[in-house]
Amino acid sequence: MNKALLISLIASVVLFASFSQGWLDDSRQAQISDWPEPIYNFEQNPITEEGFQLGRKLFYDPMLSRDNTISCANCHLQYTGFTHVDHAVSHGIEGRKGTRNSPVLINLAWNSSFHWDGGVNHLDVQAINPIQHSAEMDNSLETVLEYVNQSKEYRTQFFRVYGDSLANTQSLMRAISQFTVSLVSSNSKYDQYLRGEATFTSQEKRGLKLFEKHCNSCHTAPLFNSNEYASNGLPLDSIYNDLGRYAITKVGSDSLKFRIPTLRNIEHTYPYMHDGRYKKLREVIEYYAEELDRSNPYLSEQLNGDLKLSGNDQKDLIAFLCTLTDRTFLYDRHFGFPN
Amino acid sequence: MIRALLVLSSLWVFPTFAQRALEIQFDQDSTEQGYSIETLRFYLSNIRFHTVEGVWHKEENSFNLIDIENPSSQKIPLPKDLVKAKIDSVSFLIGIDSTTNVAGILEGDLDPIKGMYWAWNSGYINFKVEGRSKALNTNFEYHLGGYLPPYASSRAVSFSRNSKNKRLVIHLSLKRFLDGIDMGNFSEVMIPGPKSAELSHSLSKCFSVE
Repeated sequence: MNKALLISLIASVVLFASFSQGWLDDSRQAQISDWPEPIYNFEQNPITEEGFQLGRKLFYDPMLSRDNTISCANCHLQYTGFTHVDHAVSHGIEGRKGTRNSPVLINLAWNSSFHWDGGVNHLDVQAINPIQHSAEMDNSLETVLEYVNQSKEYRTQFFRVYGDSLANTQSLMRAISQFTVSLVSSNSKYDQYLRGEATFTSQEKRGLKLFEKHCNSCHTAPLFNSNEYASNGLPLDSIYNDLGRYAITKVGSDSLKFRIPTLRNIEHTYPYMHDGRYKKLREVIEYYAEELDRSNPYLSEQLNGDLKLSGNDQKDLIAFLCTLTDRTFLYDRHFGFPN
Repeated sequence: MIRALLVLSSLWVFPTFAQRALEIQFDQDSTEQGYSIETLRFYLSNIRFHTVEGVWHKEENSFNLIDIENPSSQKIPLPKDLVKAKIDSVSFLIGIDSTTNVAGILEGDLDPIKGMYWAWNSGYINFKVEGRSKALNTNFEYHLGGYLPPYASSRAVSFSRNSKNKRLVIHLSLKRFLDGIDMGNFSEVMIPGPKSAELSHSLSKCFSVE
């Protein structure tokens, strides 16, 4: 083999290793070895332990909001898969309410777009939204940068991670991504079952079969999502008139389409749907099995088929969905409030 | 015969209003059709120069935010190898290309803090003009952008010029742009979509190069 080619090959392997180094601990790295390649561009923002800690501190810092009352964690709580449990729509400063259910922050490295309508095209520009939105933190990038650049602690951390003690929009946003992109859930009972480390009950096995038949084409394993938008037939909500993806593309056929979210940790991420209209998983399954309106012109093709589920089938399916709960993720202290 | 050596050092971007230089909050037009302009900001990117020798030269890292409130932004230094060249055509993009729109968080003129970025529908605002129409007694705001088909709003333009000209200037006739808008029916565009794409097309007809 050509020597120069060999050297460049080795160099590129070493380079790749260094970009992904520090992203995940060894056990998580092993757990995702069969998963698709992540979409996030680690080359632009190599994840390091110090970068992760900086992002974690920003994520849990209420000073990012205009009146210093809420942090990212207010709507994204770890124990519930980084969503706002029991709240139909997100809550901002001064009790202001948003129009959509706060999305989970799980396995974001595999997402090609963000938000229920997919309006955000890169993880590194997502956090601008909650910082600026009047119903969320209602702050400005200028104010947040002024705050971190006046803090001795942050200056030290930004210097260590990005080589400049003064943060700019780029380093601020990339620092937040260091944390959010590291929120990897890959150790549910389902994952352990696949690895031969856990056994399924006969009910869970029946649920898995039903899931593979009726759900997996959109909520595709192992991530249990699709980077796509579809209408699940829910009628337009009466309060927000939220047309979903249409607001982004202005293409008529995108009306009432929303992100196909991951179902990992679904047991704990209630309420459900883009506007949080269902409080219980049982209600969601009932909707698909019994209430779905097939005359809805926007309905996803995948939902046109036979979706008859008996009462027992519904229970089996829920039993399977509960195997997607990953307690090592939900209770990993590394992801919690910084010490 | 002595020939004057043509020396160009910069490209000037020169927004005009009915043949006069544009000034912020200056009473631009004393007629009843008048406008006053409070904000004018836009991106010119991928600027390329063609010389009489038949060679294209590209401006490095060519993303320029032109801001009427920041006169130095209107002067774009030419690539060094072009200082003595005879340029017979210039091409550029009004706005930001789609690749850059999906490239994540960027710096300099592309920093979202510059106010030329939509966070909820990520992407750059290619062109922003805000002001008041005196005739209609109404404020107007036109924010043009969006990179997704079918409503992609950046526009590539190309102009030939007399290479003997002593100045290299990109003109934007703002009055022509505003006169072409049915302001009574819609006084603002704030999102990507068909209106943004349509106005971006008419905007591209209001540029010229001398």
